[in-house]
This record gives sequence, C-alpha cells and structure tokens, in this order.
Amino acid sequence: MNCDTARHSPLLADEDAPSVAAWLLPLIGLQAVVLCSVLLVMTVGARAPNTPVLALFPPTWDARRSFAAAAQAGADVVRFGPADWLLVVNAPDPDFADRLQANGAVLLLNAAVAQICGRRTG
Amino acid sequence: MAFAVLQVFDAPIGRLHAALQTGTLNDLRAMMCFPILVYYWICAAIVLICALLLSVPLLPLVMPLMIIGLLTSYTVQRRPGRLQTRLTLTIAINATWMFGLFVAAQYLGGAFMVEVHMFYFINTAVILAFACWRSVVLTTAAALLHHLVFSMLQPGLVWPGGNYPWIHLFNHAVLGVLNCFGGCLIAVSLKSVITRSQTDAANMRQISINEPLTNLLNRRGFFGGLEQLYRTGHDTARLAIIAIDLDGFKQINDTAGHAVGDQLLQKVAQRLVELAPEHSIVARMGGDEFVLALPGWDKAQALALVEPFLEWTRQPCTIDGREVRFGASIGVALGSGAPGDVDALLVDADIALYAAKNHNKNCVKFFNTEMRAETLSAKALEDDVRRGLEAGEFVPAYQTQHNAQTGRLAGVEALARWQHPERGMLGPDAFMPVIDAMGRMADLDNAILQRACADVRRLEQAGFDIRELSVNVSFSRLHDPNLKAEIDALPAMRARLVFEIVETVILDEMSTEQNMMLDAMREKGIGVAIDDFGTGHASIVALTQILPDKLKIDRQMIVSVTECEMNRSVLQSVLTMVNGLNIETVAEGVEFEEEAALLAAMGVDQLQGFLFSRPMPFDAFADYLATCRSSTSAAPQS
Repeated sequence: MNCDTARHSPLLADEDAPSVAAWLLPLIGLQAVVLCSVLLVMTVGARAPNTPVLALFPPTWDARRSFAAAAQAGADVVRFGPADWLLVVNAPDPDFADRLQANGAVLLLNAAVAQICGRRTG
Repeated sequence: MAFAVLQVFDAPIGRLHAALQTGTLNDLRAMMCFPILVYYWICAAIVLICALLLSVPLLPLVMPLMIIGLLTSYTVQRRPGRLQTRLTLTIAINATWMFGLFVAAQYLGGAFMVEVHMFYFINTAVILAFACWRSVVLTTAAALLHHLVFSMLQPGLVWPGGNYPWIHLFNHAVLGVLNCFGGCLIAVSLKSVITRSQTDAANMRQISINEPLTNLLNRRGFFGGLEQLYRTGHDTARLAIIAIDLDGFKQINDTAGHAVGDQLLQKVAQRLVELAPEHSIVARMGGDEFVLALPGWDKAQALALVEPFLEWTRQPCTIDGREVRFGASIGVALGSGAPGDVDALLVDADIALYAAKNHNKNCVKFFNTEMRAETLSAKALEDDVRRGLEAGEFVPAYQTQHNAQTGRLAGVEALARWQHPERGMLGPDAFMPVIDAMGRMADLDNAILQRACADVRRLEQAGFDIRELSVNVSFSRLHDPNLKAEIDALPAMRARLVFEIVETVILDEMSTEQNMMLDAMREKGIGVAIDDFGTGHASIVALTQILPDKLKIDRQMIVSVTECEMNRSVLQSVLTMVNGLNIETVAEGVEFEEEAALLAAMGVDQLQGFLFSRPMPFDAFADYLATCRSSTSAAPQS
C-alpha cells in the first residue's frame, strides 16, 4: 500500500517546521565553533617579543595570583583584563611565552585582543 | 465509525499524502547526510594535512575537529535527515574553513585567509543537497558571525590589504546576500519540485487503489489493505469476507438514470462504512458489487453486520426527490485469512453471493461446500456450452407445421438442439438458461439461422418445397445492429423466412428502434411471428401495434381444449380476435387427432405437434419429406 513508507520509515515523524529543540543545539554548536576558531586565530602572533599579549589564567584565580604568576615569568603587566584571571602583559623575550605558560597561563592571545581587552593599571 | 477507505491507515487520505511527501523528502535528506558527512571528514583531513605541512600546531586543530566530527557522525547515524541533524552538519562543514583560518593565519601573516573562507560559498552549494533553506541561512549566519567577531577583534585578518576595507565589506555583503538568497531560492525550488513530484506519484497511487465515485478501495486497494492488515499484526487467522451485490440496480440505472444510480452507490458505500468496524476493509469491486473483509470475525458477528444492512436496503431510499427501492444479495465466506487463502475465500464469498442471487435475492447466504460443487458444475457447463458454440455443435432440429384443413406441409420450424459429443442430442432445457445467462443467445440464434437456411436451400435443390422456415429470434436481437447484415448474408432460398419472437418479453414496451427493426425485416420479406402466445405479456394493444404475420398459440391453451368448455371459449375468442386482425394462427403442441379436428373446426390455420412429427435432425427431416412425397396421404408440394 502507499502507506508503507508512512508506517515503516523512521523519518515520517520528522517535522519540517522549525522547533526550538532543532535549532538550539546547532546554534550553541555554532557559537562554540566560532569562539574556538577565533581563539585559535588570536593565538597567532602571541609569542612575538615586545608586543602586548593577553594572558588567560585559570578562571578560579584571583588578581593577586595572576599578577604574581606574570611577574614570576618576568613579564611587564600592562593592564588588568576584564576579569581577575586576564592580564595584558608585555613579552620581553621569545621564551617568555613558555615561562608564562609554565607559571599557569592557559592561553596567550595576540596583540589585537590585548588592545581590546583590559584596563590600564594606572 | 469505520473510515471510508481503510481503517488500518488510521489517517485521512490528505494526511497520508502529507506523510508520504515528507517521508520521501526526508529519505532524500537522510540519504544526503552521509556524503555530506564524508565531505566534512575530507575537509577536516585537508586542514590537518595543511597544518602538518606548514608546521602549524596540530593539537588545537585535531581536538575540536575530532569532537565536532564524532558528534556530527553520531547525530547522523541516530537521526539522519532530521532538521537538527541537517543544521548540525551545516555547522560542522563550516567549522572546517573556520579552523582552516588558523592555518592560513600562520602562513604569510594571513595572506590566504580570504581564499579559505571562500569555502563558505562551496559549503552553500554542498548544503543545497538537503533542499533545506534553513541550512543555507545557517551557513550565511555562521559566516557573518565569524566575520563580525573578527571584524571587532582583528579586522586586518578579515579585510586584508587595509586600503579598501569598505570595498571588501561591500563585496562580502553583496556576494553573501546574493549567495544566501540564491541558495535559499534553489533549496525551496528543489523542495517544491520534489514535493510536487511526490504528490503526483502519491495521487496516482491513490487513484490506482481508490475508486472515485464512492471513495472506497477498488480491487487492487482491497488486496493492498489485506496486506496492510497482515503487516500491522491484526487477527487474520480468521477472516470473514462479505460479498454484496445490489438487486435491481440495473433497473434503477435504466429507469431513473445513471446519476440516481451513482448516488445510490454512494449511499450504500456510506452505509457500509458506517456499519463496518474499525480495522475492516470496505471495497467496491466494480459495478454494484461491494466486498467487506473483517479480520477475526465469526459467523454470528458477520450476521450481526449483514442483517441491519439488509434491513436498511429494504427501506425505500429517496434520491433527488425520487423514491428508489432496491435490495441486496449477500454472500459470506468464513475461513483462514492467510495470504494464500484470501483469493479462495473471495471466490467462496462470490459463490455464496451467486447462491443468494439464485435463491430469492435480497437475502444472505453463508458459503458451504455443496455450493462450490454446484457452482463448479455450472461453470463446467458454461465452458462446455462455449466450446460447443465454437465447435458448431448446436444444430437445428426440424418440426413440421401443417395446414389445419388439408394436413399438407405448410412450413417447418427450426429448433435449437445440442449435438453433444458425449451426452448425445440435448434439448433446449439443457443449455438455454446457461446461454441466456452467458449473453450468447445471439450467437446461438445466428448459428441456427445460418444452418437452417443452408439446410432448406439444400432441400430445395433436392426438389422439395418447404414453403416456410420459422426460426426463433430472441427479443434482445432486435437491438442488434448486426442482425440486418446477418440476414443479408443468408443463402438465397424460395421458402419464406419467419422470425418467431417469444412472447415472454413485454411486447407492450417495444421501443421505436425495435419496431423499426421489425419493419426492416418485413421489407426484406421476412415474416414475424409471436411465439408461445397466451403465456406471456402481450396485450391486445401490442398486437395491433406489432401486427405479426403469425401467432403461435401455446400448448397450454391447446391441451385441454377438447375437454374444457371454458378453455374452448377463451381460445375461440382469441381466434376470433386474431382472425379479425388478419393474422395467421398456429396451434402448438397438437398431439391428438381430436385436438387437430377441433382446432381446424375452430378456425386455426396451421397445426404443429407430435401428431405430425417430432423435432428431427436434418437427415431424418429429409427422409420425412421423401416419404411424404411418395405418399399420397400427406404429400408435400414438390
């Protein structure tokens, strides 16, 4: 009968009308992908010496701990970021990035981000 | 209430169509999910290979691409073709160029970033395979969002060159909008074409299983419905098949018109649907024949359905202000509903229906094995008759007609006999009802007519004078346009040809067309006789209108004429009337000398019966004529 497809295809229940559930996960996925991609691209050039770098520390860290870690790595803190765990620092030499990451920095973003983020220390 | 087409569908036809369309479109989308997933993995592999070749760190690329790929693959496997899956795939394939930007950004300071995000356009084309405009829009949304973020964070990467950023922006905006709208247009058109094509196919399929007048299933749909019952796990171990045929439907069509007949069929269909239970099948197999299939039903249940229906058919039905009366003959067969047994069950129901028709009509008969034996026997006889007609086994037997006053041969009547190869010579009772039911009376009439004319011609060539050859012609043949041509093709003979029309038909209701046919026959010199007069329906008015050349008085009026004064008076009155109309009379079935003498005295013109001769085959008739010629007592005019 012509209802074979209707009765046996698992696709039949598919709704072509938009639903929140159908859109929600892909949209969250899109934002995650864009964010991930942007972060990745923003890491390019973050290791160049004498350029401002945005250092991302673990979000649980307070400003004191982040500052101490940066200072210990030999960095000049240029500005505080919008959060305690974000710091804009100047890279004094090419090995600075490795030292900063060894002291707890999760990610280093390049100067373009560093210019946008943060506030001057004073 | 039962659904008009098929209960097991559990959905009106419109919904069924929608389901079919969606199902087929989704089938296409589900199918396209897999190549697009492959496309994702190929793109991801290209990004990783480029990263490897350009010494770009692999880990930040491998991790997200693997996670995205695995999640998308899982979604595709679980729910291929669904909207969420399509959108997820859309995001996934766009993620490849987004991560490709990371590789490009590290190569020559991002010089090839524009080329990388040209993949957005390629992805739009790929996503069209879903015929889904939402996927196209999401592709554009992904690109715009990505560009927006980069425009804020690092415009130099998005608008390389730096000198003409607004030209780049305009370029992107125009191309992006055109691409998005074009893609949406193509996706919507593609979906529309697929949907329309599927709708047409579904409509064709629906038409092929439905009959439009009553919206019931047709024969094909009936069997499809049974298959559906099997698949949906209904109790088909027992199945009741009810075959219904309307009584008097043809008369309603003929007298009230086909429009009324059609409305009656619709009312019957509607009533059956009302009475039929859920998960039953109601079908119109053709004409005025309906069939119900009731899975899991026994005899009592079937009777409980049939009796109210029969009762309903006995009530007058008003259609277009006209009161229509009809009935229904019903045959019921109960048995196994296994796929191989349904055909036999349908045949059994038809046999029971046939038995109900042959009984008093307007009744219900349940099938039993005796019915099958009778039907098989009747069918065998039909086949035998058909074969006999083709083999020319139906031959004329001749019975003489004599002048009542002189006893001399006045003519001969050709009577149909069946020279059966096994059963010998058979009289009309053995085959006439079957031939009539088969609608082959014209073939029999024509075979006897041709053969009798040829025989008479041979006898005339041998020197005999037959004077008149009477041949029975069924009333229905007066409608036959081929009759004139058949008469023209008859061999020439001196004897006058007379067509005997049986009076059992209602001669009062002869149409103009039939009267014209009689006139045409008279113009060709063919006489018209009314056969078996006195037992049928001809009125005096009909006699004056038809004005036959001869009237053959049935034996029932002759048989007691010598003993019963009243019968004699009736016959005398008839003869007086007929003689007044100048119509010749022939008394049939004369067996005794006293009868012959009395009939002659009463004014009957010719006599026919066993007193003179029994119906005889051609050779015997030729011998009879030869004997008569040599005899002086009953010498034929030779």
